[in-house]
Amino acid sequence: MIDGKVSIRIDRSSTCDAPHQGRAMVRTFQTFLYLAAIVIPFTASAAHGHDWPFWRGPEQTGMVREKAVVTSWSQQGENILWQVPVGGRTTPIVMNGRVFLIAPVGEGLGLRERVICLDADTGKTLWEYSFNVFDTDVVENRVGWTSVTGDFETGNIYAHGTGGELFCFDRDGKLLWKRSLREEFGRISGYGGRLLNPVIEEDRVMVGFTASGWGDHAKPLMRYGIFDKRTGAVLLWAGPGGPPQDTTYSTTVTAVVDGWRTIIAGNADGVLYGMKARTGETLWSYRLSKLALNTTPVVDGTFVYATHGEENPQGTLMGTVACIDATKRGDITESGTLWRADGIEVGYASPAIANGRVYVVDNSANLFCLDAKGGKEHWRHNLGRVGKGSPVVTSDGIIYVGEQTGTFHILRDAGDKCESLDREEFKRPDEALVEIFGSPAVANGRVYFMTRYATYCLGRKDAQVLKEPIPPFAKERENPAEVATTLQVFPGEVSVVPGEKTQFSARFLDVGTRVVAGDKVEWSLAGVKGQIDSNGLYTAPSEAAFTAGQIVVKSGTLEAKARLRVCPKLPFREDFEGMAADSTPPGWMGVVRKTKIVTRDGSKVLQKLAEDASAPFMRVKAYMSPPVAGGYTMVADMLGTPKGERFRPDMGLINSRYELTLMGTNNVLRLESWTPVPRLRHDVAFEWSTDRWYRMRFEVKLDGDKAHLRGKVWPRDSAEPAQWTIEFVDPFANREGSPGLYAYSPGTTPKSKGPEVFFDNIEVRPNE
Amino acid sequence: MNEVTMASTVNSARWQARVVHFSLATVFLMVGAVSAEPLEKAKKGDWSMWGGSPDRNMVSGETGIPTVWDAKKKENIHWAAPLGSQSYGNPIIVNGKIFIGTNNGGGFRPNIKGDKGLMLCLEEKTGKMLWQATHDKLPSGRVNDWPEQGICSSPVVEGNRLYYVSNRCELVCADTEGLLDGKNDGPLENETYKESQDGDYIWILDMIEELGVFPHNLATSSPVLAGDTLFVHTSNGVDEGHLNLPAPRAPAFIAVDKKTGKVVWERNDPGEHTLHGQWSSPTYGVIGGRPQVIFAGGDGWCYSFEPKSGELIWKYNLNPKDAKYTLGGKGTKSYIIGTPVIQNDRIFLAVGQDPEHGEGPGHLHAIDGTKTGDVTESAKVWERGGAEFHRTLSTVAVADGLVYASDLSGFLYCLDEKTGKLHWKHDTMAAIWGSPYVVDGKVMLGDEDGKVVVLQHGKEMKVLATNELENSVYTTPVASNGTLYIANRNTLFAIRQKK
Repeated sequence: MIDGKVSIRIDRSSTCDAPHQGRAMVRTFQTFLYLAAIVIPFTASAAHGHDWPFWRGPEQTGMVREKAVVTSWSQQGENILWQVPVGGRTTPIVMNGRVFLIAPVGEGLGLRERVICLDADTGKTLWEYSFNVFDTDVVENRVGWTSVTGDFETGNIYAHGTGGELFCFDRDGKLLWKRSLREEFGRISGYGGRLLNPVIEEDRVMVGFTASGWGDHAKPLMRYGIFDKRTGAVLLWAGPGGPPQDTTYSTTVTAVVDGWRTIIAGNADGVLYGMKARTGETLWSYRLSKLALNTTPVVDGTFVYATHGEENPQGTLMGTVACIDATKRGDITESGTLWRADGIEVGYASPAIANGRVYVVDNSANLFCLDAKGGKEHWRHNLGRVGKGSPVVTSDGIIYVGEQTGTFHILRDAGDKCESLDREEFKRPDEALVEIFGSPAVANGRVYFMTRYATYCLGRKDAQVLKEPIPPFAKERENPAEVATTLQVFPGEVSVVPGEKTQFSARFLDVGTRVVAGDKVEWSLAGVKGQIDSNGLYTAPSEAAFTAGQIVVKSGTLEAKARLRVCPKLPFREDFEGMAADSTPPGWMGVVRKTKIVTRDGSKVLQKLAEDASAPFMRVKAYMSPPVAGGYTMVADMLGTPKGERFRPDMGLINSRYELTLMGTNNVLRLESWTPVPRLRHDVAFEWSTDRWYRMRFEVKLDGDKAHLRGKVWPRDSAEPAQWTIEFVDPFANREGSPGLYAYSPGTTPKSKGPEVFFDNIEVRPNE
Repeated sequence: MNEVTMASTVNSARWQARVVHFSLATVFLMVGAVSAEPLEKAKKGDWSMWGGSPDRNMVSGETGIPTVWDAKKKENIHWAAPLGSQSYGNPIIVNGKIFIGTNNGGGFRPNIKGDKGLMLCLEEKTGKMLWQATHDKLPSGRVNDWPEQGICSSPVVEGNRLYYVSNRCELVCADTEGLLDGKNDGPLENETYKESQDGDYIWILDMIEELGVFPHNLATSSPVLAGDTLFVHTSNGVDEGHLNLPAPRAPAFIAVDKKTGKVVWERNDPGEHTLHGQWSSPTYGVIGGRPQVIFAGGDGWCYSFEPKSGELIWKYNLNPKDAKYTLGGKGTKSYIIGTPVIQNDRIFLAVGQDPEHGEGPGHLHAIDGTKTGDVTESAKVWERGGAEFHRTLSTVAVADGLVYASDLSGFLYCLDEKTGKLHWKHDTMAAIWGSPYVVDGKVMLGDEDGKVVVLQHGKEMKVLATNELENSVYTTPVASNGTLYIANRNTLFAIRQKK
């Protein structure tokens, strides 16, 4: 707010309220309005006004600069503008008169995930995009726990799906691009369903995830993928943290802090990082917890408010609410602490900051109101049993918040106490719990939220919405450009096919991450075969072989690297004879430290190791390339060894996100997709022996919306049977996917190795 | 009787006297199937295992226990002993010592850093730490050994030996004196931590290595002892993907020779029907004149075995026939986390799920323990479930014809022991992980908000006090030798009426 005055203004158009992403072009008009400070009531219409394009609102703070319109409602109809039977866990977003949701849909074989666009005035579905969930440990009722993110500049919508796809849609639902974070970059979803929302920053879209990728990204780390928001091209990676302690859903936030364009990220290693937004370089780190961070921080000027609900680095009190000085540099755990309230366990719900107060919901659903300066507790209020949803606070101190076991609250911050204005308890005739995990979106006087079974829009027809201007995004430093301190190369990562050319480009940035002129650059290759010319044009080798490494660009002491791998086009065959003993196939996902090339039965084969008892090492999903179009067949030889009487391995192939596996614990051949649910599972009894080579053929044929799946397995030393061993039709085809190998070594212990698997003679080719 | 045999092996005269006293009381309780046992006759003195006796009934005959206390003002707080940052284990009080599981957040041994599972030994009089048994975390990580959750198993103590399950899925036999007595008792002598304040292990059964067990998230079972045999759940469960059971051939229930640590028998009845993990603890008793060891399974069934041979006596399905298990908590079928309680030839037990999977429909059963075979239909005395009783982690308390049971959703129910009829229910408005405890005319229950509610024991509901312990109480109160012990996550409070 300018000069500390609260100004209230009329809404004129949707563009004049654009949050910071498009802030520059509207700043003049806003300034005019601030000065005018006219207080004029405005008739609510979703087609105008303050939108809610990010799950924590336009300022990423959980605050809405409006006076509350809804202070009571009832499930019988009072102040319900519309409700639709779209249930799940997301927090809605609202942009340009539309509401966007991500949610599960269907049951059984039809169980999928979808992004839905509703008319904000009526709740009518304008478009819907459904997609399959695959290769994740996330279970059915945790599907759609992210929120989609809107970009004001382009009008595009970004969604992070449970199966690991990052989607970009235009406002009318046209898919502009997508990336498969799982198959291309080794995203590890975990079981908890905790995934990060995409975040828009200038011309980039960014999403964090724990990953074990190919090559030098094999080491498990929480990485932040930063993509061109228009094309989906990888611009750069940031990976500031240490070993991930868990999966997380601490969505990053963006801010200009003390003149520095910053992204602030709660990491899976328990540390909060401030990074330069354009380079990912770490500005500061703050160790909040021993375990992973799940909540989204809020920024107010140079103050960052962050919470967690696990062990603090010191002491035996769990959880904290911390106020951090983000102008400090380096490890600011000591120097940056302005205040901390240890012992408040805010592990799931993210804080809100409004009117000089910080609002947090602890894990047991107690809402705390703390003073933003000093952290003094003004009051606390019990909402119920389990706190997962985050509060939204209006400029006049009305709080909207859901509680997990099925209550929705409207409260008033009355200074030294909290007043309950409305408490709605959701009940169903079948007594099933109506859980509320998501948080409300509040825009144009309306309150949008989702329960397990429905989405609600609360509001009053013809209500007058009193709004305050959203303060402009803080300015970056304006001192003149300085000497180049960083060299960047684009694209930051790419997969190509043999013979393909890729143009790389380099740019220089100064310490403030502004683009500046630099000297001549030199290009070279590290590890990967092929050629690069003096202008950064790379040409992949023409032979059908895997090769992977880095494109290196240098200028004086500055250096930058891009990751590049070459994966053969279909059809290809890999018998490992061309690979060095003890190496791993270049550019394959998930093979480093889990596999190695060895000689067995007179030929080079790929061995799945069974020496490390930790869960990620007992299992391997070795993806050979990025997703390719469906309609291909895989053939491979495989052999498993036993461990004692109790354990045999599982081994199989992955084709188009379907897995065909010889199960070791019981004698079956299993076809499945999305294992923990499973959406699709079909077993056929099949006796198999350890220490014997088998050959497996797995074909996926696309037929309209359907996929015909067929597989067979036979001892390698006998003739291929004419009959298929297993067949199944999936009515909702996975239409693409990376070819891969699967192996699992149960019974690997810290003291003794587990059952091993060997693969050889892999062929991947288009169906005959 | 087994209890008497058990007592005769004990060395200490003081201890022996106490055990005989307590065992006779227990035997009396077990065979006395006729009428409800008055609270005054319940077990007193030391509290040597989870539930205080092999029947696991959460009832104490101690008297003079305070109703009101205040941790902040130190009102009625005899002492407060620091624990780690997370404690789920329950205090065991024997022969002047207290044993309790926790994590290494307290840093009692400055040289031992990082995440560990601890079994602490404290002095009963003062709460002073005497020694700690330290167990490193498993390298396989959270799927087998959840970070920072320490040791959840409560030991069973007999003479100078304690038996518990470590976070590493080991059944441990240790010396109650630790290495403080200057002697490293064998056969196991190569302890990792060997200073005077470290634990002294006698033998360790590594259930992962020896039995092929894949513990899901954490091995938590509290052993029970009958004669020379220990009984314990292995915690065998699913992998990190939660649907695949990596070790279906590994046992779920085992009987182990207390002297050698050798397996006497093993069973894997839940087998491939294991839904998630197996976090219950076994119960021992003489029912209908027949010794039985009762195991509650990760498949939602309760099993009774002949203690010597491991032969099945009966089994009972606690889930409705049409119940369906859905990963992630949405379904109607559940497993069992609470411990079976034996009273008057009946078993009281309810189903539940990992709290992470949220609330849902539960089922509390009273089962006639005198039948044989699949007794799902024939042994049902009463059941309370669906909307009337939710998923639970808790174990019941049975006293004076009343059953106290709590659920994760936060309700405490007072039910008629014979009919299951509801006398009253109290809403704590917070998640409940611990169990109700009956002592001195009161029933107590701790909750996640750090409150301990004290109600009057009886058919009429009357809240006597709500005491604040400031930090989540995931454990069950224990009364012993005139003192009430309650652990929140980071402190063990000894609560005693100020004189």
